[in-house]
Amino acid sequence: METKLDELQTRPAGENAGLDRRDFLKLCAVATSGLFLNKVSGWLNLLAGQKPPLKEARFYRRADHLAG
Amino acid sequence: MQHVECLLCPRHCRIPEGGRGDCRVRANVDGKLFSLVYGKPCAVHVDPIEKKPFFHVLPTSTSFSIATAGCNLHCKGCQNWTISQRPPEETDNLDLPPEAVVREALRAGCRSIAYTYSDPVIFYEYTFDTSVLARQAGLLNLLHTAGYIEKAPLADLCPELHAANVDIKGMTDDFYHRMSRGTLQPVLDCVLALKKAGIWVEITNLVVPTWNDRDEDIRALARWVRTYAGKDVPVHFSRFWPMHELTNLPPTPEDTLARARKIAMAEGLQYVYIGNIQSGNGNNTYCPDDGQLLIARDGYEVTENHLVDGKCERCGTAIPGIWK
Ligand code: SF4
Ligand SMILES: [Zn+2]
Repeated sequence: METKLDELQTRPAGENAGLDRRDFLKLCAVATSGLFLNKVSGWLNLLAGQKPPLKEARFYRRADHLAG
Repeated sequence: MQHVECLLCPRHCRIPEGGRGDCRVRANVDGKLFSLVYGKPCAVHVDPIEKKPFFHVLPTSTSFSIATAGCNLHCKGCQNWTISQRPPEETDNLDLPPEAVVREALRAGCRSIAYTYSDPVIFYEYTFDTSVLARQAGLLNLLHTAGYIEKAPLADLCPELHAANVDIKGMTDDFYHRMSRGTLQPVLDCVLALKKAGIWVEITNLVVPTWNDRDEDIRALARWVRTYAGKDVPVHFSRFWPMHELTNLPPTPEDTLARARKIAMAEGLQYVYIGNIQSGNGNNTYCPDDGQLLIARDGYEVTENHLVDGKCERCGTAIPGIWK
């Protein structure tokens, strides 16, 4: 449905606002704790001895002796 | 700069630190070579074994089929180019370590695991580790490969394998060079090494109009198979669909495939099939001794099976394959 310009102008202040300061801080807190938990789970994986995602290949050799 | 030389396939890529091999999935990190696709398949399907295609291995069973991104050949007409000609960053990958593959295969009621779609050579470590666990769990290990692999890694893998379908794309180096940026001899060597190791082998030849569809192309392939691999090695002439860099070509006409089958049988091959075509004689297995229809197929579905303990029910001729 279309919103008319004069309708918007008659709304009480704040009703159409995106984020107030409190909401913004809450969001930041959630995001930061998410990042922190991610880090912690990374540390736990390391402690549990989980391997990094890459697997060392078989059948190769160092090739420093080759030219080019 | 610490270079490494990959010895897995005949390309022998010499990879600088931070670089990747030609297959896009093996990388030099700090002077060590790593697989970027271990446990990271981009294709996981439960398929009829007839789709692999294996026509002489456990008919009507299903095969847990996996592939990762990448390939060490670059066929202009690749039928799976959307995964084979892509680095792993450009495909949707699952986290499925070897033990999970085996667990899921058993859960789905599959009798085998197929390493297929792109090429298991380039996800060698994943194939190898999964094969070991699968064998222990009583599953068969099936390879569908272009056979572009070095002798040593193949020899290591052979004890874990049960069956392999090898693509022989053409019969000249020139063809391999133009179509796939590869060479012929390693592929033929791979077929013979598999046979020598006692692995069940079937051959697939993708018949591409104007590229390898002349009588002499088909005859050369059939003669080589009969002479070196054996007249009882099944050969599948598979229909090409216009794709990747060959969208200018038509699909392989059915007549061409029928002609290929006729030529190969006239050369003495006993089990010649036509692939990617829904029905017809080219889908069926016949007894080489009395012509009795043994297995009738409609697409990937087996509609009749007259094998009794792997033998022709009429004359008792043993039909080679893995039947139970
Ligand atoms: S497997 Fe890949 S990295 Fe190794 S030689 Fe072949 S194309 Fe190069
Ligand atoms: Zn018979």
